[in-house]
Amino acid sequence: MQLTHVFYNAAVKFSEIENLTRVGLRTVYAKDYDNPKLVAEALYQTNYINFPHNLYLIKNGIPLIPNYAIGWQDEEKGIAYRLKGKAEKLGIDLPLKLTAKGDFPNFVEKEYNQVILDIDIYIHKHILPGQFFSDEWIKQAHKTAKEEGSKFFGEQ
Amino acid sequence: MLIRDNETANYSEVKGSTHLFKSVDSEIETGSNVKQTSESNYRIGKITARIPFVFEHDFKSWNIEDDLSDNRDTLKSEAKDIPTGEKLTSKNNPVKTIRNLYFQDEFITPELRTGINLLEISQNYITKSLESIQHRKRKESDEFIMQFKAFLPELFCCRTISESFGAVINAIQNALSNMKGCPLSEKQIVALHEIITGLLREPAMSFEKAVDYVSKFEDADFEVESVGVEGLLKLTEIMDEDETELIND
Repeated sequence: MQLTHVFYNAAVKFSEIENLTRVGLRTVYAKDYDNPKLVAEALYQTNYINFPHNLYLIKNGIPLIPNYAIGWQDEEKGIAYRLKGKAEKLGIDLPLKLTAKGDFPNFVEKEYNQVILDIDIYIHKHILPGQFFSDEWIKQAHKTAKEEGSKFFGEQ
Repeated sequence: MLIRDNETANYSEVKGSTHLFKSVDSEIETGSNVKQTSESNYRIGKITARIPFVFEHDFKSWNIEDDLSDNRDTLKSEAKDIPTGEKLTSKNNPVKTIRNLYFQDEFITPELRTGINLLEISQNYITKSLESIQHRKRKESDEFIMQFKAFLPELFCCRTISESFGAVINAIQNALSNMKGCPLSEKQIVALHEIITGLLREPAMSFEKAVDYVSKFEDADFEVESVGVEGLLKLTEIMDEDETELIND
């Protein structure tokens, strides 16, 4: 038995879910770059975005990072592909328990410079939990997202 | 009376009647307002009676002349009580509802693909059986049930779809097996139709829900436990009782 099946059944049972209104499969692919400028350049080089040359650098040196989204949605299902850049810093204040002994710093920071392909495939409809087969749905959604995506973005 | 079978173009004679069905292309008419609307449907005024040619005997036993002349009003009133069946649309068709949730035309999992397809066919047979018995055609109704029964072993093989699916199919299989060949009553066919439709609507329903369905199914004079299991349980009870007596002694 698949893990998804076990997880889905447990979630429905213990959360006492009587109706599902939206079910989706979100897949995010990310590629790291050294700095935000390279992220912006990588996005421009995909040729999906037509932007006047030299406009992507604003005066203080922080590049403009474009987002690009395509998709469709009908009464029951939908799919969205978002190609976007991410240039941000994530900082976390560590708890005192860790930092008190001096083994860890008080503050941890990570910088993300990534080009991200975010695929969201979903159904938005009121359905009964017993109508939904999680294993089958994930298999089909993944297959569809791959097939549809490759038509537009290419095989690689 | 002569009846023309459109498929074989043969006329069969029905004794005791003076009506003659004349073939006019796709329509057969009589002088008493009887029209064939399709291969096997005859319209008598506002009443539609289904007359299968394979059950000629049943048809012969029905004296059309008497029904049309003397009992027409009775037939009309009875026809109002015959449910014509709800037409399946995309909104109330359980299979279509489930299929619409998925992105591919067919299910990828073999058990799911086979199970849902067989359930859909089974539901059609049971609906036909129900219609037949409501038209007092017990033999035809039983034949449809027999055709449905042929799918049960394969449906049983698809019990990995869900625990509930296995439980419901197992209950149906035991119930029909325990009937020992006796034809189902209308009440039983209605119960069978309900449980199959419920399973089609929610093939992966919770086990508690499946138990509720089986309980309702059992209320229609069905025995859903396997005979072998029942015997084994009784044997266990007897052995337990004997053991308790021995300990007490």
